[in-house]
Amino acid sequence: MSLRIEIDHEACEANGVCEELAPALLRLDDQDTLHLRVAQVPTEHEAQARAAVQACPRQALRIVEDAERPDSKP
Amino acid sequence: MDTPTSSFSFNPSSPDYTRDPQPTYAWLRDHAPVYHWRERDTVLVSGAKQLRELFTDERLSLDIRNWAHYGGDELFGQPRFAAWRRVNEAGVFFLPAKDHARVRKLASAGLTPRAVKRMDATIEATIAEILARMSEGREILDVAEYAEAIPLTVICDIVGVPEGDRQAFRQFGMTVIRAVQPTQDMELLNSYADAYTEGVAMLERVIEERRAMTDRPDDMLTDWIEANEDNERLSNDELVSLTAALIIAGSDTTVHGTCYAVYNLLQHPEALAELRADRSLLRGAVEESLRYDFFGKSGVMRYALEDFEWEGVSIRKGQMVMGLIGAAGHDPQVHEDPERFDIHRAHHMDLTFGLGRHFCLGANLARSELTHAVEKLLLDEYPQAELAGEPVLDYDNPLMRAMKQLPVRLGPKSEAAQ
Repeated sequence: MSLRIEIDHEACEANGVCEELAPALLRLDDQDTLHLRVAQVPTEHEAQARAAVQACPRQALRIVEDAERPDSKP
Repeated sequence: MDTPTSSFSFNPSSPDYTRDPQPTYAWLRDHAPVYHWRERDTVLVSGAKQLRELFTDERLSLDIRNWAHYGGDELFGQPRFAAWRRVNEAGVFFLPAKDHARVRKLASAGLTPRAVKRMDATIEATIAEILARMSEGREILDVAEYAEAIPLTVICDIVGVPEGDRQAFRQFGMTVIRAVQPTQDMELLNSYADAYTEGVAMLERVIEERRAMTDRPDDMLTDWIEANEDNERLSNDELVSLTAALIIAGSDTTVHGTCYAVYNLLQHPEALAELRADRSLLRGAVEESLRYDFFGKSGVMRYALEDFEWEGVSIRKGQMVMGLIGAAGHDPQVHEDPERFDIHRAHHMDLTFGLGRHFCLGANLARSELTHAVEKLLLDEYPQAELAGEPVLDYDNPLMRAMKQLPVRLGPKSEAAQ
């Protein structure tokens, strides 16, 4: 399995909570636009990713789990 | 009221509940985090997990017109109530989902942490001026009075209300705040309707004047007027409604939040000493006071759009569902040792400002005001301040655990401030 984060830009209001919790994964620029720093969440940052998704005040993030191999279990 | 089966009763107007609602909240969380309060046919939500669900469940609406007992249609149909009705209907609490998302997107740009930072110096100066005026020559400051003056003055500043209109704006603000409390008194309602008519006319003029300026000040109202995404803009009605929403949602809350933050810090001198040594703890201290001793009494309301089952409770379409933020803040499932006041806690899972679609639009503004209100009084100016008596509570306030008075002995001014 590999994880990635999806941003709902319509919902994001640049509160910056995710950047605080997962600075390796997300970055808010000086125009208040949120960017992903990585296409896929490295294993060592999975906990950070989940914390950021849960804490987003606008619930504007979600975790997407991509199956790498068809036979891999969810 | 005791019943043969249970000695529990939910009575938010009782003095005991107003002083300390936590024993009631603990019972609710332990027995039924979703609880049918028969007396008022209202569902109470006290668990942190369930409150998160309340904020994000599409079957629960914030629009009071979905309430089975809503009686406003006839009232707001009267011509005298037209301005008030327009403010409601173009406002973030009533707009249909699609318009709501557009207005949020445009309005929130002026209230992000970055945007508020730009207004920070103005907010700080306003609060410093209020404190100087109120503490001048006094031994004891009533913090309730200090707190009361802050939000409307700050809102005046960031909306850019001209000097000559400030008195009228404050008057309008006071009415808007009072009009939030439900009443059947027709004379009172008529006076609110008239105040709305005048207030809306004044705000429309302020907005028109701002639109006409070539060199607009760098503040929130300018952001709102210039906000433009995919050629979508905020209409005049929406701008007026947003300003009213700032007052409705941002005045009373900030007043009581300030009182409780000052009170809790004075009750915890060791925490205050830490703050004096390290001001980076200030923001956490303010959040902790909001969690530890939440000022709200009756909670946030939602109205069911359909019938459904929730944690063993049957929710019916049109029923009122009340989220108790102060109860969720002490849920031991989320907050370790919740009865301890600890300014070092992380607050990412707090629900003080809500969650999701209606997350408090003014949260960052409120944080700035609360932080500066505490910092000016207890750190910058009067580092030896102490409680001069217990707070006097207003037991008649149906919405807030309001302090009518919070007497604080100021003590000598800090040397740096002299």
